[in-house]
Amino acid sequence: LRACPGSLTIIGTGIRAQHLTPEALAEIRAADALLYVAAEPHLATWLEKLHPRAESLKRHYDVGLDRAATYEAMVEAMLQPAREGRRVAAAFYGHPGVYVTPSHAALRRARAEGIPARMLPAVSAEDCLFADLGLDPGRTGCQSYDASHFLRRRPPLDTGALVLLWQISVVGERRAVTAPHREGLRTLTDKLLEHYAPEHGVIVYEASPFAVADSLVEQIPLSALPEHDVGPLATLVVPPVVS
Amino acid sequence: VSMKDFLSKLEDDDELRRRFRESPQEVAQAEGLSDDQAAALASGNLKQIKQELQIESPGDSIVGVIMVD
Repeated sequence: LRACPGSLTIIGTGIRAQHLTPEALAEIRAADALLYVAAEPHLATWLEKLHPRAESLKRHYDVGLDRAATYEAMVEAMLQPAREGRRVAAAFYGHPGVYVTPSHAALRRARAEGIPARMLPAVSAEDCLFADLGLDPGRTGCQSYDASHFLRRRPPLDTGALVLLWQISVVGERRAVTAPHREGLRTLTDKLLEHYAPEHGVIVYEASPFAVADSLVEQIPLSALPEHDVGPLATLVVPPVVS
Repeated sequence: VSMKDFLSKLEDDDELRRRFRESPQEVAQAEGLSDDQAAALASGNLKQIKQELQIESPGDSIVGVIMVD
């Protein structure tokens, strides 16, 4: 065991800067090292203003590289300074435990090595979605899947419930990419058309990371999805079938 | 000032944000942004703003960095 171990705290920035919780801000200020992944460049700039030694983990991400290799590099980048005795904060956009593979992996490895490690909750894209669209998942129930997982595992679908499909721009794509994966969108649409009518209205949603812009809310018929201009961080909202 | 720096300032400067909401195009241009950037910001449209950011900083936005697999 180390005489003076460091620590790792995983935090989330929320989707917009103003979502950062006081608890997370205090952790950033107290940290010896701040590592981060920001979805947008202005949020990277903002984090670098908050901490003089902020360092982006995005350098581990490379187009065409399998994401597993990227995650492993990110995990080691988070753990190395903690092994050296430093207090490390690692910030991810949104909620750090929701759709973030390297944060969970880093926590597990840190604890296995005896390094104190914890995760703080934050505002996720799903939280923004419920607020922006005025949807209450308790009303009809809610099924929420990563779009690739949904296609691969084909879980039973309840068309009377709200269905959320995340990361639709990279359906079936394991590598890092720079543009939406249109063939995957077509496959996803075909799968949904087994359960919904082509004219069933769906919403392409993207939470706004900007204090001065609205979230993106685009209502289209399901059949139009493959040709729709889907942004990198878009989510598909499939409302319940009303009988 | 770059667009990303201006957006970053808007996140934590209440007074700047208040002035921007009153006169978005004028405030953005006064900060040194181009006409296209100011127009995108004034639109409040997420896609337009991201498009201008992409022109200013190609490759800075993320597609699929953090994924569950």
